[in-house]
Amino acid sequence: MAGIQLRVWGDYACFTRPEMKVERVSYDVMTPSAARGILEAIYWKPAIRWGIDRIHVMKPIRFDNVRRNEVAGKVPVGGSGGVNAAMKGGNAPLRLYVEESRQQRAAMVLRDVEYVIEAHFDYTSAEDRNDGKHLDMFNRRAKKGQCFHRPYLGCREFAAHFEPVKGDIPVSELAGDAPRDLGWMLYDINYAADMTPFFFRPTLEKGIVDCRKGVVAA
Amino acid sequence: MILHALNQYYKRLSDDPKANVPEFGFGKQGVHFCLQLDREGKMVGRPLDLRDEKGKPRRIEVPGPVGRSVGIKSNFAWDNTGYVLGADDKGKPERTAQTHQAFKAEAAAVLDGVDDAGARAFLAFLNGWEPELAETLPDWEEIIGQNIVFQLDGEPGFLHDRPAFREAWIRHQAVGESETGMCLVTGENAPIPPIHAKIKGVPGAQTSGASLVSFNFDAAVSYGKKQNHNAPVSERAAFAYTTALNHLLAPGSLRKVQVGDTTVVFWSDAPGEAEALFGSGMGGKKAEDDGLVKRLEGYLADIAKGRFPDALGSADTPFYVLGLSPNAARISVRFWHVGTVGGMAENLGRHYRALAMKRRFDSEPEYPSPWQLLRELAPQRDSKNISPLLGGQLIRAILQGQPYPQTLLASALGRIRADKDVTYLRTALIKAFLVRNSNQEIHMTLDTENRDIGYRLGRLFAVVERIQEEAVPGANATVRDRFFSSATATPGRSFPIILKNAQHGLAKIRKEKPGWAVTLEKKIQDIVTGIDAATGFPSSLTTEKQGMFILGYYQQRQDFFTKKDDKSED
Repeated sequence: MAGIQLRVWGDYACFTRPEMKVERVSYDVMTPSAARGILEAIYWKPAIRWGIDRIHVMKPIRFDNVRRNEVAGKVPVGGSGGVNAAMKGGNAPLRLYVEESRQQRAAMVLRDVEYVIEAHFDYTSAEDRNDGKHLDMFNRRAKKGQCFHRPYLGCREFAAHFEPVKGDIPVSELAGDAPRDLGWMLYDINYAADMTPFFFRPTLEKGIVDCRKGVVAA
Repeated sequence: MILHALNQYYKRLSDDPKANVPEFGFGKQGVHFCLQLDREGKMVGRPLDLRDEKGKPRRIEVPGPVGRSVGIKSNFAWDNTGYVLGADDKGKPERTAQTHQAFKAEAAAVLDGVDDAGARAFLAFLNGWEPELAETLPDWEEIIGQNIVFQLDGEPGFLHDRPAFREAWIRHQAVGESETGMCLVTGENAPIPPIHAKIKGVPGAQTSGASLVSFNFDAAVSYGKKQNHNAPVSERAAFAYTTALNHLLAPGSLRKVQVGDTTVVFWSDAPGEAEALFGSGMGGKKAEDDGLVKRLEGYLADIAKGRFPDALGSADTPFYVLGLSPNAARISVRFWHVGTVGGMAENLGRHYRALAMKRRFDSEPEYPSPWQLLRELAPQRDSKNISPLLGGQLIRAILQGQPYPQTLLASALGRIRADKDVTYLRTALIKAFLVRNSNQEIHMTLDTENRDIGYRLGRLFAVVERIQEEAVPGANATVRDRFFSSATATPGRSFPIILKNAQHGLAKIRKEKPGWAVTLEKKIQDIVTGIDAATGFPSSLTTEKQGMFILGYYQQRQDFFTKKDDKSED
């Protein structure tokens, strides 16, 4: 399939490790599912599915600590006071009182990040198969800065800036470093099978994470 | 990677008999008392007190311990009196009866079919025990609610350490059923436990321990996955990382350091003295072995001079630093650094060189720890007031050789302005900041050639203060008390007044010690000629220049005292 290249950058990013998602700790680099989320924010239709090929890490990996006010609770889905009941016309209040469940939580986040995402798309059905159309729409939208919702770097509050890469992808600042094992990393979640996570074992080589290697379904 | 590195560290420790870490299924626990049983399961003698002189329980290896929150879950062959004897001081007799039942059930389940004298005695004891008898035990007021283990009369070791007990327990563990999944630490498909063991030894967290990996409220639940199924970690990996971390955090560990509310632990991939060195360099617990302390001090001096002591082994050995701080019932990661022993030594050395400054007294630390530095920046020099964020940032800057946190300079200046105390450590900290973050070249002692306006003004202020001290000894409000803050921030407004007052002071000195007055006046002239006439006294100084002001002031003042020493020797 035809590929796209998108440069994304921002001041902060937090690609939360699942085991450290309460007191957040970020992965060292962007995860494929986070990259997919960014692409989907810019352009997506039910006919296509984005597949991430490679992620170029353009800047040195730097961490920083922040503390944020978060909440301990969620608005319930089921039950008489839940979302389901509200949607069926129930008159129970659907709300979360922030003052009652506020918690201060620490997060170890990435500072000053820049990535180039290389990706392609596959078709999900026989309908709407037109490479040129989807590709043009994505590139046109990315160039104009259009998006369905603001793309973000792992957490909603860390907005991502984006632009298409013109010409060749620039060389990463990490290109000279020795290959680095990034450990087991979340690849994506299989929503069709009870939301099972699947992991992969990437290495950072010449500043590039190849997302097509070593994917393991749990 | 944190869990991964800890998992590997556990493997290294478990291969090392000297490290004395528990094997899978066992854990260290503080135990207070030991009951002695005879072969028929009757209690004999008084309960043995295992506590030390300070009343602290003895840490011994026991099966489990089980992760317990509110539910009833018994440990095997040891637990608190509520479980073991069915009597405690919680005032809930029904619940206590249930816990005692759980203890009996667990023991019976594990020891089912075990042919051992200890097992028979233990089961016989549990069958014959009446919770009402607890109150008749000697020293019951002290025992109540504490942890208890057992011993078979006349045989060495605790009951749970008998080979039959250990084998039965390991067999029993393997039977435990739980959901399987892919472990995100090891990558293998294995049983995933719903909760992990607690991490103890992080001050500020709950004393019973807190969790590093936990999902203890609704908002942490994603995709309907409960507890640790949110992040699948296998039973063995969970055991390994918690055991390794508890080993690093154990009381008396040389591999941990407290900086404000952050607890920092170090470990490397190879055994050696590197871990202890960085522990002591960062201000950790002093080693009890005098020889080791001497060696470590030697290494520290070497590192500060930019040399790498051979005794630390290979410079390429990976080295890990993990900073943890408590937050509610959880532990949060303040920072995580993977480096090498060589890189660590280099960065620590660079930090010391940036800090290097002539001390006021020999008793002041030559290689101050981050904790000592941070305390200087805390109101009332109380370690409770250390900014938690600043601590983490400072340590990260030191370990990774990065610029110091921007707030460091501002808080040092703020503290000096608040209590008008220009100490060695504060000045050294400002110097380190200016050297590393603003690329200033600054000497350890007074530099009369330095033409920086802030530095010059600082020196001038020190001379003026000296004049006042000579002219009006024991003044109620000195020029430092009245003008220091305004002189650092807005010299244009303050210095004309200060200098005018100084002239009065000089006039007075001239009457008594004409020579000394000339020297002082010359000093003022020397300094003032170095100030650019076009700018004069600037109306305000930036924070960097204010830092230079403090440095000039400190070094000029030090210079006065050094001179005095010379005179007395003449």
